[in-house]
Amino acid sequence: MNSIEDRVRAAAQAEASSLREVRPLRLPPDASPRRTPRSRLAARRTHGWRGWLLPVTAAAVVVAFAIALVTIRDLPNGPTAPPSVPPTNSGVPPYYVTLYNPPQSSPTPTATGSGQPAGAPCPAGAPGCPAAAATELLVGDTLTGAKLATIAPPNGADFYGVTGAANDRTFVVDTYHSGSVSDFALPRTFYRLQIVPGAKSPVRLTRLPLPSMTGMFAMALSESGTELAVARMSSKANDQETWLQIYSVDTGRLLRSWSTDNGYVFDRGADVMSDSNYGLAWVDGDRAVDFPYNYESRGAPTTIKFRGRTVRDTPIIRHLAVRTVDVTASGGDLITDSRVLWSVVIPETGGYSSGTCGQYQDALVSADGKTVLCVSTYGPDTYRPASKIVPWHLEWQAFSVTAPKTARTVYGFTVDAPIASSFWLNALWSNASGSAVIGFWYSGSGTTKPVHFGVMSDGSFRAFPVPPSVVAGGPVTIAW
Amino acid sequence: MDHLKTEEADVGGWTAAQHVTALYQAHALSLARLALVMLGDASAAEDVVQDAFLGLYRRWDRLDHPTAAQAYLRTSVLNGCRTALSRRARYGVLSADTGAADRPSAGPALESAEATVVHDEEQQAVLAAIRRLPSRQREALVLRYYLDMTEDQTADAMRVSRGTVKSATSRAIAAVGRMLGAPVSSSNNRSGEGS
Repeated sequence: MNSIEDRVRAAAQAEASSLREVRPLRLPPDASPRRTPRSRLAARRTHGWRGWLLPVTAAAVVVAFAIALVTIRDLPNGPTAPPSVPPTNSGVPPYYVTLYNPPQSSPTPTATGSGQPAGAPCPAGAPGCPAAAATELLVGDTLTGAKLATIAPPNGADFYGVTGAANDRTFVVDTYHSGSVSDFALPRTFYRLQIVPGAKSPVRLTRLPLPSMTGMFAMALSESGTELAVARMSSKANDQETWLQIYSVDTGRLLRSWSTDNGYVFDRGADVMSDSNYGLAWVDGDRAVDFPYNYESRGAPTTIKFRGRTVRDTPIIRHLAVRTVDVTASGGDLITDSRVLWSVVIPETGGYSSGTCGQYQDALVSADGKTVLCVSTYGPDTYRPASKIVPWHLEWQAFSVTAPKTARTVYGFTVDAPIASSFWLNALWSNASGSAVIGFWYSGSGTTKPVHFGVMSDGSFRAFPVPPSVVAGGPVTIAW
Repeated sequence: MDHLKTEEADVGGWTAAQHVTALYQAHALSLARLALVMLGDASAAEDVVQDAFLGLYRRWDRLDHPTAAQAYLRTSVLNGCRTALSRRARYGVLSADTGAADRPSAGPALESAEATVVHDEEQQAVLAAIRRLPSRQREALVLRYYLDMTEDQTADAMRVSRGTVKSATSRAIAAVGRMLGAPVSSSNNRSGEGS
């Protein structure tokens, strides 16, 4: 049977090919462009346009924005940088564990065996081609970047996600065997990783008795390291169920299970190639689990002009929210037995600006359950002129769940960059009170962009060596 | 030799209407097909594309660079599709705290009569599944598997991270597989789901 991907492709192409012509373009007489001196300049430029006026294939729809280099006006450590964090280690967990794909020894593998022309470039893993490099676990020193250990995946599997306990010594990693179906549907196997500084073998990996699980998209180890929360979706036909389940790490026994068919649970940040969803968090001394819930609601009805007609419209309001479920209380419905801990309306912004909490990442919750952290970019409310240099403000924000409307800036700065810029901000870890955040950012697209990585608190940023797994274009799978 | 005519006209100076019309001739069909896959409604797809070109025409004198026109058109069509999908999905909203807010897969989408005729049963089932997806997952799926965009290109088009594209695509594939009754797991589908 064809893969789902092939069936989607075939159906989409068949659908598209059913449209063989479009009606002529009608430009109404009242729609003439505003004439300004700029338009004369534009007219002079038309000489260079002729090449792209030629008919092109459908692939020509794919046009990447040419994003100019970002001009940094107020980067940390720059001339007008905010005060730097005192050189102290307090609060920053010393070890991280991350999934890392070491670079191939040869950037362009060539065939050496049967199945491919000798010497011809060939994809990793194809017959006659070198195998793809397995993902390693890399244990590193947060402050120095020193590598403590690397671990190859056991039994021919590949690592998939990692989550850490509060002691920064106990981690759980899951593995899978890659195949032709979606990673999401492949069963996971679980291991405990223990860091023992100073020991002859400073890192130990042991198989856990947890059952193999499919449909996983998030996991979080409790602060004590004794329980594992996992979020999963059903792989059964016509079944929209999502589960949040808690397992005993030591016995593998299922301790609690909540379910829902609500599609907004975990809808935002569940990255594949990683079960390390930062929005799933144990809080309040392992008494509750918080999880992302990003929903839409209706605004007040109004009337708008739509295709020349006045129609009633009820605007959709998008919310970034966190729900909390008390693991000591009874119940098994993930929605009715939990409550909204915090939510914010994501503004409808123009241009490339994301607005408050508008970056596409689940909110992070501090271990005390009192602070929610998110990332935001504030830029111009327009797409044009794309190359104009304008100030952009990037911010890591903290909200108290008791005063959810007011954000505190953990760290923020302004850069001068073209309007057509994209900035990616992440918050990867926070301390128990939510006053300090480890995160990173980069600008533009592509995997070669420089990444800025470090800890942020009280309006200051302290750069750390960038872990080799933290690269532009992610996903980044790392835990403390 | 249409392109020669174009060059001569460029030298002589085209009006905005001529430029936009030329763009329409070159790109409207491919954009309308993209919108059709997104919306499942040929008429709505053409409306979205017409609106995009009309918008381009209105903003013509504010364009700084030729490539901005194509980028604008694609973005405008995707935005138009999102808007159309949002308008369709507006029912069944309850309070957030009860958790019974409207679901991303908010029921059957509209389908044009001609589309119903031209597709075989398999394709109809797949298309129906695609249209039950939340809009972001649907968009990721269409960009990745209809336009064959790379993850980076899809991320640029959707204004999200590459990881989010992976996430949305993977969840979309899993959901489509479930809706089609296809096994989305290669093996070992055990572990007592829902227990």
